[in-house]
Amino acid sequence: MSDNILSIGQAGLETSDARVKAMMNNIVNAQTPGFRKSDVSIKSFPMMLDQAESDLESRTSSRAMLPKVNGVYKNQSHGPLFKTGGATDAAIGGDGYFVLQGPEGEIFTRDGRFTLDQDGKLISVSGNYPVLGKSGPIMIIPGSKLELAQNGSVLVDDVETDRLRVVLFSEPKKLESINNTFYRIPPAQNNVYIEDENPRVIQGYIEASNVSVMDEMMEMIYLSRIYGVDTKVVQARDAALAKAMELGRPAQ
Amino acid sequence: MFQPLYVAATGLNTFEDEITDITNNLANSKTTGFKKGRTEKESLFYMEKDFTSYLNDAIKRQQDAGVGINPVEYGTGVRVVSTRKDFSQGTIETTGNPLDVAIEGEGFLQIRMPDGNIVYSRAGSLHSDSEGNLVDPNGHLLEPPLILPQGTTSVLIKENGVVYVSINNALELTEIGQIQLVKFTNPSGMKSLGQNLYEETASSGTPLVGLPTQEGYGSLKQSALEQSNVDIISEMMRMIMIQRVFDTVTKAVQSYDAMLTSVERMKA
Repeated sequence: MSDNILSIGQAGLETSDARVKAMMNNIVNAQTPGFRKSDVSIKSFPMMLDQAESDLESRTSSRAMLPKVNGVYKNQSHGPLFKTGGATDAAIGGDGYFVLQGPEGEIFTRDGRFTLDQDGKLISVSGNYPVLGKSGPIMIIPGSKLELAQNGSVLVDDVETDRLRVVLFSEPKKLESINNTFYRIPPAQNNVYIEDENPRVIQGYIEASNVSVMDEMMEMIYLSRIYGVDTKVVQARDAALAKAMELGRPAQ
Repeated sequence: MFQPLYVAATGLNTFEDEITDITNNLANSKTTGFKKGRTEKESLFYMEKDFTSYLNDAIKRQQDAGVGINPVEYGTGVRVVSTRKDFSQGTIETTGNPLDVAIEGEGFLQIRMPDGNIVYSRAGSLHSDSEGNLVDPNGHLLEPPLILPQGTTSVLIKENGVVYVSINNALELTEIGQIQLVKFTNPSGMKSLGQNLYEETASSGTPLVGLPTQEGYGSLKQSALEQSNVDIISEMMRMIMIQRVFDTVTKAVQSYDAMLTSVERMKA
């Protein structure tokens, strides 16, 4: 037996479930530098309307308008910058991304927590991937003074040795997320970037997570209320069905 | 099922670790030569493996599946990736004790442990033992060894590490040796042994031995000590932020619990 009203309740609970999963991961990463929060998009009313119209045209039976998870977007708004004072920490003051040399191609990130490995190569703290400059991985002579100039120049003991690569995407939303901090270009996509020749690199600062704890608290309150409402729908329908079944029961 | 609860647990664990780090920094805010720790966090993928395989798996999975632009995928929380030491310079404080040396710059003193291993320290509060050997506060020998001759009345340590002594108040100074320093490619990668001592690791690189005042080693300052580089205000700020997020996660757990309760009550 399929029941339209029960499935409405179920679909409501399922979308809330999706949102609670995203919310929980956002909150625990509210202090993770470079993290970009996930927003769950629920299929919107106009989309549902289109679908219903095409159903009418094809004369299929009308269906209940079930909410449905459309996708999980990574919110690419910038997080606040905060000072660490570390020479190998950097933030980007514009829309660009740092480029890391991942195991299978370039990785893009705004997480500017870098460190040196035993050979003096500049690597990312998370994942330990080499940070790419215009001429490949950036090397620092041990014990020398590292300065990252605002235009991305890498100065080792006041001598420019390389320039940090900062790239811009026309459609950053189309980047594929690896863990909400690292991104890559999806294989099938033609999301070509351009090199930012005039980036604004800020040494000694890192970009914090863009999760707003206040927004997530509101989401939390909303979700637990809407969840209660959806369960009420199921309860009410359940009670009605029980009544209906009683009708069919022989009198005793 | 209950995935949000597991995610919340990763958060609570991570924040607990970070509070431990903050507490340790605060407790050592007056420890000579102490270097503050920095807890680095990273967001997680969906399997219990090391970070690199997480990343490789995530990439492979996405390639295989050929998923669209916005796959429905949820993160699985957060974890501590490293607690590295911040080797920024601490403030130099004059002590008046001639055997105190502060290092202005990146170098480390070498200390020979009883088992013969060489370890490294920034805390230059040296002493002499009963035989005149220069030792660190825990009695471990300075490397290369320096011995104060009997009857030493005053000690002069130059910026470049050369140690002169005056015996029986003689006006003429005798040179007894030179303090060496070492530097590392990645000092943050060193392992902390406690007692202000650090050990070399694969990620710190091998030590490069040099002399004070040489390029990149720093110079020595006699009768002074390097204080801890812990900044109490920023540690307090970190503590407040972590506490707030911790509270929020707890609230989220309660809220999810309430949601589960309403599901339970669905079937009366």
